[in-house]
Amino acid sequence: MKASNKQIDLQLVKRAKSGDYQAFDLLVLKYQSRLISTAIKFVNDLQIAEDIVQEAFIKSFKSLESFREDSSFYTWIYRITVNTAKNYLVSKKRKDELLQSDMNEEAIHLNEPINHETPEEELKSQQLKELILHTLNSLGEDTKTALTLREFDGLSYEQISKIVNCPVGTVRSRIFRGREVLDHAIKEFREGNYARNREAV
Amino acid sequence: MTDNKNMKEKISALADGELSDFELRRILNEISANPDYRDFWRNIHITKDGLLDEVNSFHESDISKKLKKALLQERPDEAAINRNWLSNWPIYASASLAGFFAVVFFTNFNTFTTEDSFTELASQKLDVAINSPQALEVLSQSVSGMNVELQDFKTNPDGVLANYRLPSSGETFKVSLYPIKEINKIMTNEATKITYVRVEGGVYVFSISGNLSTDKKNQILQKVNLFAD
Repeated sequence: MKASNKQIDLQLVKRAKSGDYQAFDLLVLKYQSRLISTAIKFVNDLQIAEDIVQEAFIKSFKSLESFREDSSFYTWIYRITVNTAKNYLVSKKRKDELLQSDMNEEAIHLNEPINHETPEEELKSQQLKELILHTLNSLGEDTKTALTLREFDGLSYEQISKIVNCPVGTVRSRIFRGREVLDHAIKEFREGNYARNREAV
Repeated sequence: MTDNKNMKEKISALADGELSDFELRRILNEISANPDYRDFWRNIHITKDGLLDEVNSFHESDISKKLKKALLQERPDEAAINRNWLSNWPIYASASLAGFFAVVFFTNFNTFTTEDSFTELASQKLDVAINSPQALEVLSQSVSGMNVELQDFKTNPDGVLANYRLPSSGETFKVSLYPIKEINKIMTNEATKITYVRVEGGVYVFSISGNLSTDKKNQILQKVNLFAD
């Protein structure tokens, strides 16, 4: 049976509900960049977007007890983030109105998400996608097959083991080995080596 | 396979929902305490996002440390982090009480002349402590005045464990509080030192272990051993 992202998160949510903050921390690490990307579309400022996402996580942690386990954690935290961003804008608008009675056009449209990424940031995202695909393609055939079946088709280790006819433990190791290479590539990317290598080519 | 690789293989399996709850419980502390493991976990998800064409340029932002600090500073009536702790862990109040008693003891030394006085007062104050805003601090009461940083903490139905670091020296150590029946959960390596905290509800074991001088361990124990047998 395929393990959906919702089910994977549920394992961590259950631990977090029982008071294990480390489990919640892993959910934060997993989703923070996606949520910052969402928040920044509303507020157009990275620092404020980070604060909004932090507030959203605090709200979600406080109300974890009320989280229904048949729901998706990501959908839930996404909604909290969007509502927090909208509330921020409403309160900001009120403050601005007190200071300035004639609101300008920009302020009126603040509730509408905007695309925040600068051309440089878009290029960086594009380069990162390129790097991930390039690294995946450079993996050995067995490793690439296991990782592809997992990431693109969402198959469980057991399903993959039946397809490639090897033990589940081997599938687990192959997927790990692939991710180890990708991890190294992403670290290099962060350190700027990828851009330098591309320029050299 | 090295420990590091073995651990990362488990993290990889966790990201796919292929790790048992038993294994998960065992590795959460380790992931949380090791920046390399945390990075590995993040990069797995950056990869997943990248392959689904959902990667963005904010993958370098990390609010996790700030968030944890903010949650730890929340008041107990405002944070579930405390509610969980309080609802499941009335015994932790005895740790808070230890700090409280340290102050009371030194300011009213003559009032408490017998061990029973401590026990009785500890029990009387238990309810107060449960509802006290101090409760979030839990075991940090035992290290008050030491200028330590709380690195991590973990609660579960069997006890509470907190990891601390002394920024001045880089020393790290663990402090825990368990009911005596759970004494087997206490670390026995890294020169563990323990003391007993006795209240009417039962006896609890307070332990401290890790990379910390014996003097400092004793200093911490002194703050909780007011209840000792």
